[in-house]
Amino acid sequence: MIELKDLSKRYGKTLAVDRLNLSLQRGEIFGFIGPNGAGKTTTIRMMGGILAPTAGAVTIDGISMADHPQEAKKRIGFIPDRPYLYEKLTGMEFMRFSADLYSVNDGIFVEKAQEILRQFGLFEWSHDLIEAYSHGMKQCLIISAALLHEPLVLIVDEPMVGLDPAAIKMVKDILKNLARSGTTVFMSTHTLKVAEDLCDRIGIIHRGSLIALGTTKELKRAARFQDADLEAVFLRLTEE
Amino acid sequence: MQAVITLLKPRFWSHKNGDLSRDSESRTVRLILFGILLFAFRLMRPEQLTNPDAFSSVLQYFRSLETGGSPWLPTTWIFDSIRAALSGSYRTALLGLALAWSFAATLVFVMTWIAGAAYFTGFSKAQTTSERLLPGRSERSKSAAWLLHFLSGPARAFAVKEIKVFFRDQTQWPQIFLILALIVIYLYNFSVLPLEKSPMKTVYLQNLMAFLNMGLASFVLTALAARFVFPAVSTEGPAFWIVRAAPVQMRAFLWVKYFIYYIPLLLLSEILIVATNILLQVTDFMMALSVATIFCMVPGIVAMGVGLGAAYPDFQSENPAQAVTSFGGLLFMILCTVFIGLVIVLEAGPVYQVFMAGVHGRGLSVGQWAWLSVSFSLALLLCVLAVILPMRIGERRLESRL
Repeated sequence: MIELKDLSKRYGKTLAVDRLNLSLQRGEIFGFIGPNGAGKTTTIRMMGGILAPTAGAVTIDGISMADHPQEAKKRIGFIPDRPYLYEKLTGMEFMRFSADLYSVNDGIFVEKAQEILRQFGLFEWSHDLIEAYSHGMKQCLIISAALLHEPLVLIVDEPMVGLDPAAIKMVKDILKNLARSGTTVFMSTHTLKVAEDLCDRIGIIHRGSLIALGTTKELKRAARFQDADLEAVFLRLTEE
Repeated sequence: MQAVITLLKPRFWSHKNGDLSRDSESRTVRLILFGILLFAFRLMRPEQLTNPDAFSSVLQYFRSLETGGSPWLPTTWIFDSIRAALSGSYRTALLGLALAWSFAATLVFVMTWIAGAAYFTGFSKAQTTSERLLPGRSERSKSAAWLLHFLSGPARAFAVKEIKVFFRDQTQWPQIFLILALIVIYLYNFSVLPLEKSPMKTVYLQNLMAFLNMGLASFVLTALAARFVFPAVSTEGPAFWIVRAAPVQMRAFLWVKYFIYYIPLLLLSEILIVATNILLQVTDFMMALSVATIFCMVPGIVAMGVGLGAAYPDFQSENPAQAVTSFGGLLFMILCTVFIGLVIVLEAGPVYQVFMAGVHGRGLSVGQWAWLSVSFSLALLLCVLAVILPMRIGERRLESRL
């Protein structure tokens, strides 16, 4: 469902992502972890079509992001790490905006938008300007909007930042349900517990390169840390 | 005094909205007052001062304005003090000076006392949370969106968003009021032009003014475009990721921006040009020429605004309206000036020939027809290029930021 081939990104002299190769199956939840500045957000932005790679290719559902960006983006639900939105729109207006962008059928929009907003506890606030929302509410609104067009691929950068414990649990449940119904989830996170709980496979990126890839068990084996948690494995693998 | 009013304002001002909107309300009030002042000044017809015939009445007018100063005003104390010092009455001068300084010191004391009592309460009251600002908004937005239903989904999404965000941004309103005030003054200026006092023939002067007015109206349009169109891409701010992630071509995004601003600016420019032409009582030929020229120039100026705004965006700025003071904004103003100048120069010669032929009741020669055709074709080509090139450059530059 997601194919990254020799994906690289260079900012001037800095090589942010170095020949990243990755293949994700349908319905898989993939955790992407790494230290600050490792290249997680850059990778995610290239996958979402927000940044163009210096070299390599991103393929979503067999469609090349470089050759057919519109077609590829239609299949993606993109959730960035920082919830920048159009503050002068209301929550429901932003949902309508997203629905129009992704050509969601008018007939089902209202019912679906209300259902998702209720799920995230935003329905009551749906006719208020986004500028009145808290950080966590904005994050929830972005997630709601990303789910509106039922994407085949969900690309999420730090999904739990700013969410309260109830919302974190809800997002985890939603991601699990989505994966069960066939959506592929690519998620970067610093919350290793979340990655351990949710992800089928985990990739560790360090200095732009993928240094480890596999299930939690496989990573523990690679780090020769059978009884440790993911945090210890992560620290062992990324230590200088 | 202003500081005291500011300190006490939160105690009495309704704190329905956040402090940010209160600030913009205050800014709006200030700008409306400025607009009224501008109107009042213009309606005094200060240009009469340059007219020797009106001198006696103006002097009379100023004399009528002279009133005795109140003995309670600091300005009177200062004035009396200076006058007394100049005439050698130092005791009176010192009294005036002492009154002025002691009053200033008293105000500082009163101000400090009020600040001590009211500042913290006022500050706390100003820290309000946003409330339900838009009850029932959804119903209205449905009807507004319905008007744009003929557009494709993504185009409608951007168009509806653009219009709503524009009109809900309180910082835009004062600018609109100010611009409307300036436009009314612009029209008023044309209505009071003393053409009959010129040594030139009135009909000639009227049409010359109308011709030059095409350039002036275009400059007004450029100023409007600099304020509203050029920052249009920058106003996306950090939310520009939404456009990037959306399954929409950058071209479509820019063209939606273009049409959102093109239609109102075209209407405004045509109203401006037709109204001034009616005030000037120009010939039918000049009326048709002005309307057609503006019709062809507006797309170019708007496209340069959107295109160059996209080529030099500033997504980080807290106030995107300031984008116009950047290098891109300067380039936009220069290119618009060159564009307007070229179109006016290209049209000037043939228009003069046509006008004089009309005045003398004779037809145009073959050479004059050829000149007219070439000049107008070049002007039209320039207008077309002014639309296509900046939009393409903007699109490419924005894409290359990926």
